[in-house]
Amino acid sequence: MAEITLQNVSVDFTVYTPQTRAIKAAIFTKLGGRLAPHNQTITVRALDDITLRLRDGDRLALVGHNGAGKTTLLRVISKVYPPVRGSVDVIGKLACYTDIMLGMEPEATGWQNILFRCVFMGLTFSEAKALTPAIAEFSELGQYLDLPVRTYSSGMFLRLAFAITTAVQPDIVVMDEMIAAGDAQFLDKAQRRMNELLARARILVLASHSEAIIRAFCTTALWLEKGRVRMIGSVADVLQAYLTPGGDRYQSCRS
Amino acid sequence: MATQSDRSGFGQWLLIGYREIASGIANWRIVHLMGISDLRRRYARSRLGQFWLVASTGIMVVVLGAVWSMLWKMPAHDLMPYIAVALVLWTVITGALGEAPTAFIAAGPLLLNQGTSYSTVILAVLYRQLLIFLHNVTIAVLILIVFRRPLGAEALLAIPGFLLLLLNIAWPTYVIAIASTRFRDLASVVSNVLVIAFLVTPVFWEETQIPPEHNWIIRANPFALLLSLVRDPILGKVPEGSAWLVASLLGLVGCLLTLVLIGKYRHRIIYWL
Repeated sequence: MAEITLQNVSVDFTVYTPQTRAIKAAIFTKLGGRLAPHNQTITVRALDDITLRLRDGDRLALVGHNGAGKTTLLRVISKVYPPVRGSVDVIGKLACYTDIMLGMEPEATGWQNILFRCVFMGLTFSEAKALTPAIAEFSELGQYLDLPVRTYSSGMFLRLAFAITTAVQPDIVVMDEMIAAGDAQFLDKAQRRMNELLARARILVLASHSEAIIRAFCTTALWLEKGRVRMIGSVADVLQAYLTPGGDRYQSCRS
Repeated sequence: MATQSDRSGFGQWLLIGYREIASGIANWRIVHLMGISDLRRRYARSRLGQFWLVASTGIMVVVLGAVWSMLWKMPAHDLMPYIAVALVLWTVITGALGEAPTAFIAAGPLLLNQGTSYSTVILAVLYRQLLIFLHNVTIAVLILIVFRRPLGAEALLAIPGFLLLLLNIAWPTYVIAIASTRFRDLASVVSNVLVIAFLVTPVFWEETQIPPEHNWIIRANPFALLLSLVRDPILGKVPEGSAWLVASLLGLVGCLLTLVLIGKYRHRIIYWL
């Protein structure tokens, strides 16, 4: 069983800079979170009173403008940002795919990198070794795995990172945009693998700007605006409201 | 923040701090990989990677030892082993404390993309310095052999001495890492303090060379104390009981305060990155 519970979660970012005042003007735009006065410093309220409950089978898409708080919310769910107010509870093995190259070393060989990346994802060394042949086969990198990955093209590097990251099945997948890798032929295979992984995951939280991807993978959508929940509902309803020209100006929809 | 501090007191912070350290130790595999990554880069593209690692320490020991023994007309037989042991230890101190201010910032991608305990990063810093130390130990051993300075039974005291030194490096590393993530200027302060500390600590001069009226420089200097706990046994001198007591107390109190500090600021650090 997997579950994500956010109870009245708020996140503030304090802008630490000697020129706080100069930066103030730059931040007061349509983009970004709400600004709350906080003594002399500037505080950006990145998330404001978010309550959310996800259970097995939920596929949530996060939509909203740049700076609306999508990535921040993903990081709260991944237990990276402890909320300033409110509580976060996550049950189940969570994998955050915001940096699928974490732990990889340019100077090390492909084989070593498979081991490193697996360990960073929380596997033991022996578990990682057991997974290595399957990862190597999926990556189709063959003899290149004997070379340091700094000799790889960026496409090959990404392909390896993808092969390793998707070799472990988590309960909860948290993603900032869909991850994919490879040339046309590999892309197809990668997409199939991703589909399987996401189908087996109990909960998916995906922030994306791609309507097609959201419609393909998600059932529920949450529209964030300036750190608040503007609308939550079925993908069809939320996307329709969000994508309607000028839709983001109808303040009456605010929940 | 209001709710966080409402339900947290001294004991609560201690508990959070303890959990933080425990989860860093549980991450020992990641600590190991982060620790060796720097060494691996050194080894990767040069045949003499490990040689270059110890070369700077070796050159420093030999040149300092030679020049100093000439200037002060001291026998190299006495001075060189003294400087070698002290400098190898000093490299651990300055390595850990020097890396501390940027530790969390350098590990930003890990901390931001995967909820990881901060102690994982600190343990990796210490582990890396320990590995570098093990390389540098060869210099000290070589010098001791060349100058025919056999180790006595009291040399075994260097082991608890080194553990006390590590403990008293570990907690300031953690404190500096937390503080200088918030106050970035501290990085410059720390590097300057380390230079001054190098000069006022008996690393390349002996305690006896200080005029008695200025002896406080050594007595008020925790680095001098920690160095002597390791160096003196190796060179055949047993450190005083009070030295052990002070170093242990310093370690104990420092660690407790650090745990409280971690407990109090743990949930803020990520926002300072």
